[in-house]
Amino acid sequence: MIIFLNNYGELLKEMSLLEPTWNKSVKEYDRALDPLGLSRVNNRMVGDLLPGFTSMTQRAGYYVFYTWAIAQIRRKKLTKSLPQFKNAIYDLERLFMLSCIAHAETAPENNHAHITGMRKGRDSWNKNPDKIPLNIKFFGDKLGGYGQYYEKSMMHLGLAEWDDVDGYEKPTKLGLDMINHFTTLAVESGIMSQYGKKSISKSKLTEMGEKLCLCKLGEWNNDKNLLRNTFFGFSGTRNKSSKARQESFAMILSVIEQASTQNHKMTSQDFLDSVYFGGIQTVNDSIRIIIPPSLAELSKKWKIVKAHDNLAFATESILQSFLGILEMNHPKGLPLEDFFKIIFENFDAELGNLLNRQNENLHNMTVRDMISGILSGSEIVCDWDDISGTSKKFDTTISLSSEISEKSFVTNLEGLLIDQSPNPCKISVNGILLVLFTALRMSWRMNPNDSSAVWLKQFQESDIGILEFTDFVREHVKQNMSVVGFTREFILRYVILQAEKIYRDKINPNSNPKQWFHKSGSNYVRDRDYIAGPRSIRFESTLSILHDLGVVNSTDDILECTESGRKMLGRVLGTA
Amino acid sequence: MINEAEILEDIKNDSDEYRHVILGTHSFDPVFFESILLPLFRLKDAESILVLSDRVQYQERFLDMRSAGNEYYIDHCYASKAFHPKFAILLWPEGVKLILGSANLTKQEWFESGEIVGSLTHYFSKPDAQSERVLSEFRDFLSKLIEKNYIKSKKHRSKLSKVIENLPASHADKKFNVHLLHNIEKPILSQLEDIIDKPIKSVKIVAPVFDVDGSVFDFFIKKGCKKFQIFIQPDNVTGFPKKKIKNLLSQGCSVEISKISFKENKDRLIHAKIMILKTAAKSFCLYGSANPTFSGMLSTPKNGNLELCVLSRSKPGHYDTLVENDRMLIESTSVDDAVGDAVGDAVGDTADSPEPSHLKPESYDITIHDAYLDKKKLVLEIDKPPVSANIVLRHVDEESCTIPVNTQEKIFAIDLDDEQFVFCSKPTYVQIRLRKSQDESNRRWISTQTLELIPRKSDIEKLQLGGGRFGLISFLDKLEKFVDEPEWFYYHLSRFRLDDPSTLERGRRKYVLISDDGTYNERPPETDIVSAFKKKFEKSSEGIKKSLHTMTEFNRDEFESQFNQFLAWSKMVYWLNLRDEKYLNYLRFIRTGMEEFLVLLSRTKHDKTLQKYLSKINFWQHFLLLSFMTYMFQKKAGFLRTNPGVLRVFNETTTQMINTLDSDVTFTKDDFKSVVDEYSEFKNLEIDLDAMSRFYEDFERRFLKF
Repeated sequence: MIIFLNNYGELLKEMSLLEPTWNKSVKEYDRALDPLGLSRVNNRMVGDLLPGFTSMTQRAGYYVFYTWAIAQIRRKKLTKSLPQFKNAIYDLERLFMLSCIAHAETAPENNHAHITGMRKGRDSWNKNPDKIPLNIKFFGDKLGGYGQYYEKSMMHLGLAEWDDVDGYEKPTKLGLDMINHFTTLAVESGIMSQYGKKSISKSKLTEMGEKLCLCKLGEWNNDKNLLRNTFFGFSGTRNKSSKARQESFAMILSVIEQASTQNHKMTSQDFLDSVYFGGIQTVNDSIRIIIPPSLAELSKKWKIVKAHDNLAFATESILQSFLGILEMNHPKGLPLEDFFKIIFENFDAELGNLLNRQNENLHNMTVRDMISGILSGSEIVCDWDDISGTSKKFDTTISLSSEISEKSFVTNLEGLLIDQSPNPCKISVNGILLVLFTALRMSWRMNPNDSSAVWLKQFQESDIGILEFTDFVREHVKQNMSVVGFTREFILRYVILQAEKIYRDKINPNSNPKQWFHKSGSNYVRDRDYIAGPRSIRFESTLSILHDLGVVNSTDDILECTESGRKMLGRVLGTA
Repeated sequence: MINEAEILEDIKNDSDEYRHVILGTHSFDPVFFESILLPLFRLKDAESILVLSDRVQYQERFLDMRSAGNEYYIDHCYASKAFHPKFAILLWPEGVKLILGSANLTKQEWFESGEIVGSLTHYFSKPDAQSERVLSEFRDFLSKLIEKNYIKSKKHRSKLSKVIENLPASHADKKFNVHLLHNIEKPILSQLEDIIDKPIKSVKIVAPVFDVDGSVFDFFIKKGCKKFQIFIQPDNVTGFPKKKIKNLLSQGCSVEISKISFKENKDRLIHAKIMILKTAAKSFCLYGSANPTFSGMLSTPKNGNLELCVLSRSKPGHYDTLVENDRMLIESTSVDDAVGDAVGDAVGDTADSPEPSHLKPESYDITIHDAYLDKKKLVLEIDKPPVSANIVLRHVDEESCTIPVNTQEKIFAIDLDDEQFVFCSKPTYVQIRLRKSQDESNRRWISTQTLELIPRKSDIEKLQLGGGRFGLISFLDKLEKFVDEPEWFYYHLSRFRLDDPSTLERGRRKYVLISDDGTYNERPPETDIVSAFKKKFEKSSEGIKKSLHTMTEFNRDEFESQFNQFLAWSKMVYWLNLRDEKYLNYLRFIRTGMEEFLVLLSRTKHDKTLQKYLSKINFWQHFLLLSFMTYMFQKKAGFLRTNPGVLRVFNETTTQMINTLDSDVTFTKDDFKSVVDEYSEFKNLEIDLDAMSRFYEDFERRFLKF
């Protein structure tokens, strides 16, 4: 029996046989944001280098508050089961969130960013003149912001652990040691006397906010120090994760310190450039960054993260321009060959411009010729029987101060992509050169004996990343392929077919994701836009946490290490 | 008010099983089909899935197909212009479901664009003359595709025939409200004229494609109709007949043109083709695949498209709400404002567009009409023998394998070697490259036997009906083919209960439905499989012993149940022995089982009902054969030399059996026919009745008259 619905969604059962009926359109979900599956490997790598927090765990104070909340739930015997635990932690978080909002009203100059559930809380604050109901649903997750963002990170840091008997978390000894000061303040604030009430007055919240707001972590001295030591791996369990986090923090602090002494405010891309090129590009100049020797091994891993981001950015930029072209031909779409015609129409000229070889016929230029040309400026002879050797020469020769480098292609692409009608030819030329340069730079490292290659292999799994890209480039260099031929194959394989593959991985009878483009006959038709950009390396949350911990001073204009930060850095590097 | 149908939900919910599935479409979206529909059909245990598509569309999406030929069959169907029907017929033992309309097999048309569809579900146990009539018309449509040779593949024709033979035959004489119209022999509008025998007063049309000549309007004008309402989406209309409409207006006809869209989503493409016709007393709705073009409505496949439509009849005004309702935005417009001068192509409907020349069959020096695997042979049908060529087998990832051939025949078979056969276990397409000119033929997906070999729920149901004994071996063979990890397979097998074949279903679902979910990445629990089977057979043997010992007088049902089970696990013992000599010892369970039956028979020897029953179920033939086959297994394993003591014990049982047999009973070869047939499902077990005759010559009595 066919399911018939009227326009109110009601079921109509009595329909004549073969009665003509409109089909119901089926909703697609469009939350999928990784069209080529290139963020997966990045997330795994960054998760290994900066374990214990995510891009959503931005405030250090929450680690103290949640540990305290879990401890209170147990101490006051508020729950007997996991559902009750969820309700209790949700209720305590609501009180804390409202206290923070109240404090933001009285001290707006303080840092009140990233308070979980803030929008719903503030709506309620604004709507109610005096009493705020304590039944506001401020988060979809039944464990509130704790369940959504912080739970796993806290376990990772060793502040809370799972209790098999009770079926919900308990604080660890480290966690309990860390909340001494907060516990005293909580008692003073009277927060627990509000627990279970139906509403709370704004004045009471203001009073509580004076003691317990997120921005006051700095005043919870002992708690903060212990939390800082935990993040830096000096307290709690020492393991592979704590070492990786400690070293990554030290690396970030070291680069911040070197950049700030040159009056430069470091960005996430600067950090990646410093590990990738050993330098940072400023407006007029470049700053050489020295990687501390004890962090050299870690630096190689971060270099892979940057290389992966280059390849992902290049590939996604080409996808963006492909979708742009399809948009111009919507809804009929375009055969792939027509897209290639558009790209290759001025390809030689654009290539000539970028390589500063305007007057040459570059149509049949091979990848080898191009690289040889670039390196010959540095009087380096390429040996194509030894691609690894050539790759190594490339890596040591082409730097930020070179006339062209990956940096220039990234900058070009960033400029091109914000254009109202991005030029697909320019984007493709810059994208392909970014791919070739990055793969050539990394190729010599991608051998089974290199520790960073071994490290990468465990994260690449069945997805694509540097290992596959460098193999692809090596193969085509061996074949002495032209840049044009390489471009065509690269786009077909890593943009078009890869997008189709990722879509196939996601679609099934119970999941109907929105495609980026689809095929209609032999034409490709755009379904949605994509804006290419860098992958997250959790830089913002790292800075936010380090700022909360008093290790860096991060404002709109300044990013610098504090005295405490320099001490921590010295401690990690063994120079303190 | 508007009624809406959820096609996919309908298919998901209507039946737990769809044994045969045939889908017709003009354009085909392999990603959508293979990701959304195919898993669903697999879940519904489909035994054959055939997609019939337009030839050009088939070639255009050829390399986007990932499981063609293996998990479903796909073919293109003849039409001089476009093969344009859009239908799905789903058949299962209890019923049949037919869906047809304007939606091609693409995600866009099933999920997004505005389509008109109709559906029919018929249960064979609930006769309904109108449903049967429509299904018989559909049967006629499928039959004509075969009759006219519009589908060349022998294998695919056989799949169509399978569906045809299960559809109801005609109820020709009665007058019905719903007709299924195809244009294989007569244009759609000519048939419409036959059915609507009263003057047509007005015609209302919703369509994305017209032809600039407006030939369909000419048709109705000739029939005396002077009132037309046309609903279009100006940005998505092809071939709009502006000039013709202006002519009609100048001749005094009433032609109203309106823009139509969905209020909630004005950009939603309307791909539906609706024609509402009114006589003085009735209203008719023609919907389906055909656009109001010459190729669609006034042609047959010889000079136009192949189309499939529904004509339904109702009271006046009944169908008007299909177009004019509170969900639709209708804006009146003039002929000049309706569309610009450009007549452009409509999105998603290329049926009336010119065909790309490189895809025309005549552009190939040689065309492959059919390609399928028959056991280890690749059977090809080509149009122009003789050929001296290389047969190139390819996968989508461009792996290839080449086989040289010289043939004089249109249909020829190539014996594949092991490597080539294994190559074809993945979806493979074939192309012929002529040796002399290096010209290449069309590409064609090879239809393999994978689909037929998938063990199905219905196989288990058959097993249950036969007390676990019939079809057991072919089921195990089928299941074994799906297994990448033999350890898991034998682990599951050692746990299935011989007295309850339904316990096989769990293992089947694991292998067939979710074989790629990573469940089998881990090793199975540490188990001594050989011992596990021993326990299983011991338990079965105990069960028989217990049942037969307590049987003081002949209980037919109980006896039948025990006999079926005994034969089932005897077969399983043989099946295991054909794979591994580790199971040779378990032949003894066959012997002990036989002994239990013989004890009962000695006790109830004078029960005439029992004797009659034994004869009916070929009891003695089975036992004679079991004794002989067991001996042959032991002989092959060298027992004559290594285990004469074991042979002696078995011989004693055989002697006991012969002594229990009535002294005047004799058997001819014919008496063994059905029994031997039962064992024919064993792939590598040959039963030589003459050898059996020689085997029994060593015993004193002569009861075989061969």
